[in-house]
Amino acid sequence: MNIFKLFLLLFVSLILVSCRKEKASWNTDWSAPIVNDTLSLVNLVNDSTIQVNQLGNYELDLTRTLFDLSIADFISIPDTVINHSFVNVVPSLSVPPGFSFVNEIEEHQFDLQGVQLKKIHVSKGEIQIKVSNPLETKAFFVIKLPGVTKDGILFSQTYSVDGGSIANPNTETTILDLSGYDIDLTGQGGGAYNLLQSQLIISSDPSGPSVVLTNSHIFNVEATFKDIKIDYARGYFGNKVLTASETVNIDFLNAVTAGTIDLPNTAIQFDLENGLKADAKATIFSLANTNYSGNQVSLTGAQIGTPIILSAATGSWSTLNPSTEVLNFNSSNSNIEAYLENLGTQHQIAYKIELNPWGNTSGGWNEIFPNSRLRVRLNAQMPLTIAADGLTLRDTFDFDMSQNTNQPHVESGTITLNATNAFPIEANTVLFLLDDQGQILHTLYASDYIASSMEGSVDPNDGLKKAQSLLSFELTKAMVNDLNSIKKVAVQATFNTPNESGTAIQPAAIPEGAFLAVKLHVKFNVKVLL
Amino acid sequence: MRKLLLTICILVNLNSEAQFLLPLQHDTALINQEIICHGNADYSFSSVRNDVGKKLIYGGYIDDAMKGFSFDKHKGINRLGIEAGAEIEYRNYQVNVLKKQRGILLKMGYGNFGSMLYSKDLFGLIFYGNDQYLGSTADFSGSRFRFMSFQKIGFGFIDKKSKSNISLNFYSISRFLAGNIYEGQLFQSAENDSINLLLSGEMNVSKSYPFIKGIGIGIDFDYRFPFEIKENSLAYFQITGRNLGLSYLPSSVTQYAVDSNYVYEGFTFNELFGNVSDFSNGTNILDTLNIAKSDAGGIVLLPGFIQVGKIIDETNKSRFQSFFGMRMYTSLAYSPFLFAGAQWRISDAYRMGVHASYGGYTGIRIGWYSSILIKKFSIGIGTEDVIGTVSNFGRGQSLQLRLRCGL
Repeated sequence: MNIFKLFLLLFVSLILVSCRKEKASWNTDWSAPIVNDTLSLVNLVNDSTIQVNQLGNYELDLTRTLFDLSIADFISIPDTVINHSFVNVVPSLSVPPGFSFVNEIEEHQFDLQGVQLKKIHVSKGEIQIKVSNPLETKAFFVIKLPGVTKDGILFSQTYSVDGGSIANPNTETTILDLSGYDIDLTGQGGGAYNLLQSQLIISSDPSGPSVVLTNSHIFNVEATFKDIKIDYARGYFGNKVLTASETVNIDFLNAVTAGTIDLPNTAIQFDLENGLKADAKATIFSLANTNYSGNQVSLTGAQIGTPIILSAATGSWSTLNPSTEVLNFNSSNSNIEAYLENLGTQHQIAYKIELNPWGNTSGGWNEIFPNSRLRVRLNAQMPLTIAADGLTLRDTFDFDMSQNTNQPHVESGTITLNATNAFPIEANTVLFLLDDQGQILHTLYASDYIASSMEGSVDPNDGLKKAQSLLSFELTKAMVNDLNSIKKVAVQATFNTPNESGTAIQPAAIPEGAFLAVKLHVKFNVKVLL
Repeated sequence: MRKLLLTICILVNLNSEAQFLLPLQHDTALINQEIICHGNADYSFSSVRNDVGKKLIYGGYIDDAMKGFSFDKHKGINRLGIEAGAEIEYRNYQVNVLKKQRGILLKMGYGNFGSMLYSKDLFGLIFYGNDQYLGSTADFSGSRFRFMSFQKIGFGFIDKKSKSNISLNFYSISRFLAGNIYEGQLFQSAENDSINLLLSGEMNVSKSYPFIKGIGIGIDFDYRFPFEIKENSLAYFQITGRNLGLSYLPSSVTQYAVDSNYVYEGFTFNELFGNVSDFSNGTNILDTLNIAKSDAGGIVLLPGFIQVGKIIDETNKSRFQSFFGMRMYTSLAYSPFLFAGAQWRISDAYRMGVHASYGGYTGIRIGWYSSILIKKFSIGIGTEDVIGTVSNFGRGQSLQLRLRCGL
């Protein structure tokens, strides 16, 4: 019995020895490149045009269309249903085979909300035609739309519909493409507007028997104009007023938190273009921006608040010649420089555009063509010569790199930035590690700053002045211990444009081909647990 | 008090660990039935010192000094092996099978076997990271590893006199892991701006479910025969094999095969912040590194071994007897294991032996064992690595326990 106890003791002891009290662990150092990229103006400026001036420096040639109105913004044809019926006036009539009844032309009104159209050209759309035959024998329908032509040929469609009954007429439905049709809306008299005409001819079956036609037999045609788009219209487009106050946000500038910039003499202009053969009047009531600190600057100048008359375009179709007006804001006629240097993130513009401001002075001869536009373009040309004095940008990124300390995890690390800078701008960078409430848990200061190219030397290979910088951020154990609490990382960069001696801020022109080459490496001390 | 001392002695032995009890004794005594319980645990390294090895097995922090000593000991190719298992066997000599001299045996047990061949640079990568390889190449080509856990049940016959026996075993494979790196090189520029990973190889990992990943069939045998070493003096030799057979793993294994030459130089800002990098999800990682994932299976060797050698003759009343032999596993990481030693018959009930060995997963080892016979019970405890048991300068540890009860 003692032996059994002894063996049991051995077995239990073996199990106890086999149980691990803790994991095996050791520390390792892992290095890897994280970012290898080159930033140039092509990366930074997405939809702007950069060009090189005679001095070999970049300048901004910015052209943006602020708004662009076409025919569809002025005139639209609503879906419209017209009904055309034929009823025999005689109580009872024996109709021989092949006998035809010709109905009179009927006129139907388009409801165009004050617009008086005389002629339109359909670029896209369809007509759905539904005909019903109450006769017991087959009947033939000819549907004509006087004034609706394509290549000079009148719209005319013929249908044969099998026999039905007075109680249950037989119906046929067809959908036809109306693209390319011209529609004359002046009616039978030729002096009206918004009128569509139709005519119906009904024939008995030429090869069928004679049939009795009574006044209870109602032949009906229903034509539905659907999704009509036009690319030409003539008539009077009405006195339309478009008043708006719009806000344009430049999100990138939300990152600015401090500092100033100094721009050279600059100018921006607004090009106004009227491609409609109708007079128009435009007024910019106000243009103001508000920057990161709440400072607001309003653009001032004689052209703010003053109506600009846009005469009707001349010519037609391929010879259309829009009328244009230019609003030019420069340093001598406005405060445009101060306006731009305010680095406004929110721009508010209030304006009014009025069509036919003096009513129907053209005798109903407004015209709009496929290439007619009423639009405003912004043009700005300025050298990229900026003096930055403590201009501070700060942007925040979501961050989620939680780790389990019971598994292999990072204990500390170093982030190294190797930069080659050909921009004449220096940058001091700071990283803020934030919790989910945005509170700063840790701050990582760079060991050095990214030097301006003004501190470097000329590379004979490309003639660019470049400065090399090597800076690092130390990730301490305390920071890594809080890694699970870090939910955001804010990157703050303070830009300056120092002179060569670094003693003063000066405007710096950006040379052609300038770039910032960035190589970001990490070295993590990882504790391995097994 | 004696019980307490004995307990302390055993616990000291256990805490110092031990492995495969050497040698097996030849005993022709006739008994009716016999139950043998046997358990062993052993790990050994060719190049890792015990201060690191013990931490890997039992847990604890491995500091730079410990890593340094072991790293310096590494050569181009290095080995490690681990084995742990237990078995219970019932022998009945009263029944007669085929011929009257044959009884039957039944056995069941479990085993865990792992082995690895690896390069010095692989050890360096795992224990130091890649930072120390900046500007150079870490080469881990030719590294391979294999691990298998199984349960087994077997039955067979035993010669009543010589105790030679053979059993047919059925295996259930509960875990399988194997990998081969045919070509593996990690080059990192001195400036830490590029990483070039050249990797071709494969890894097979058994899935989580079901519990039984495969089945196997194999044999254990133990053939003993006398040999006249001088006139009127016989020595007994033994050829024994365990777990010699094959296992079949159906599609319960996930295979990762790679043949890639991947160059990484960091992300662009667009890749990093636009979330379009190669590593934005797991599928892309596999694709980027050209890793093909598939269900795999097939037939693999069981982790068996064959041992040939002279064993102790229990009928011999000499105070000292020698034993020696050679063992070979079905593992490429295992080099032929040679051993030789002597047993001191202290009394009719108590024996002690020492031996030296060379090979296996490590180099020279000194072993020790003792056994005691108390009435119908025989208890044995031993280690194949005394140095590893008592010091951090060894390169492994082993423990073997054996309880035999004759009825």
